[in-house]
Amino acid sequence: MRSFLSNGDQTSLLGNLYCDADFVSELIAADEKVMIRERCGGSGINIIDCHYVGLEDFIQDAGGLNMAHKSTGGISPLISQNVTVIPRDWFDRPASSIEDDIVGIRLGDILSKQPRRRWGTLTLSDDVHVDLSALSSPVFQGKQVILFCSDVDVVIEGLWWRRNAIGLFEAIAAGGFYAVSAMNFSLFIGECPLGQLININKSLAFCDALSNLDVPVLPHVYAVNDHQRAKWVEYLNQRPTIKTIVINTQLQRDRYSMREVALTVKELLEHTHVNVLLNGRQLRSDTVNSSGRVFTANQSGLKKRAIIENALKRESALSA
Amino acid sequence: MGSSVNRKTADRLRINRPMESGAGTGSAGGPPPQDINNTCPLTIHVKLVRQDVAADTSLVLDGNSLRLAADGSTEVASVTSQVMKTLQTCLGMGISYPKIRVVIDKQGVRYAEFSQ
Repeated sequence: MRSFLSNGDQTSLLGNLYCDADFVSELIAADEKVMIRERCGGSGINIIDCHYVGLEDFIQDAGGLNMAHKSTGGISPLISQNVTVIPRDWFDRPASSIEDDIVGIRLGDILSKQPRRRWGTLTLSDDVHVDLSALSSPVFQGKQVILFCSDVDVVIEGLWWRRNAIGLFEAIAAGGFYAVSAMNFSLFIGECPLGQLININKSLAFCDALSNLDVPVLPHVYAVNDHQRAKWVEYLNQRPTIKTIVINTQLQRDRYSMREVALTVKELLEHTHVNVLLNGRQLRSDTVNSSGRVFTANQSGLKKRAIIENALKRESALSA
Repeated sequence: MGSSVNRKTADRLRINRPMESGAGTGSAGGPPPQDINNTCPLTIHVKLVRQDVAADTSLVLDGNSLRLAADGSTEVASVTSQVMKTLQTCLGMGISYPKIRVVIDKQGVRYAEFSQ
């Protein structure tokens, strides 16, 4: 395995002073702390870290820290095509306006309420619940629909916390989706690796819960260091029934973040059997793109089409 | 939402303590569970009466008056009873807002921002 420190980035040996993640769990290596730039504050804001009082409750909530204990035993289909994720303003168009049989829908489009901004921060309403009425829209008729459970932290963490109260898994199962991608719990570079491992396990626990209801799932893979990538490789190789994984790439706007995605995809292509579905941006890598195993799921094709259609409408209105 | 370097400014929250299995089950017809982020938002904004205060200026809360920390006397806003109630409720839950500073929105309006 490539050395964790070989990427040439500025690293902080203060990580050893700032973070005790490797003392909490032997599943975390000491050198996973080198990118940490601030002391793990234990506040519970944005992430649960190694200094949080009551940490055990969160580890238990994630079904433990060992990925090997997650089964994801159900069906996980092979996706070997790009997937068009339908934007809300296309829902009333006829199904024939989209050629593909398999299409995507965003998590936010099956929620009763959207997060709203209050005093500079997004908040999720206390009475939010799953609302599948969007699936009755014309554009989805006769289509096989993949639900992409990628969203902002406020939505992902909020739904996870309410999951039993709102019957989240049963409600998603009722949608009859072709497949559901796991929630993209955040892994931010420089944050506590214990919190990151909790989030990886929460994402897998999400898969498990849906698998138990016979919902086909696509695990969501985030990794920001080589140890995490190695854990994913081991996990996937022990579960040959998982044919496709998803990586959300909508937030990776800087080169550094996208490079982490590229490293993860490369590792998965070289050492596992899975296809990779990038939810968002595609990678600028000939090696990856020529592999025949990496596909994208986004709205860009339809958005371009809408721009062209609107331009043509304007032109014909002007000439009339 | 990401595996990235920086979070989106608005996408911040306090992670709620896990509910016990079966707790807060909506099917029982009870009220939905209360998200700590709705009870005690990470930031609270109070519009300033004085609009000549520089961004990032530190403020202090004196009763229900917000004053400049530098002199402790110049009042720049008063806090509504609703906000005072929120501050007290959250303090009772162990959540305080130790930092109060001036922020300016895109329209140029100045607010006191209470931060956890």
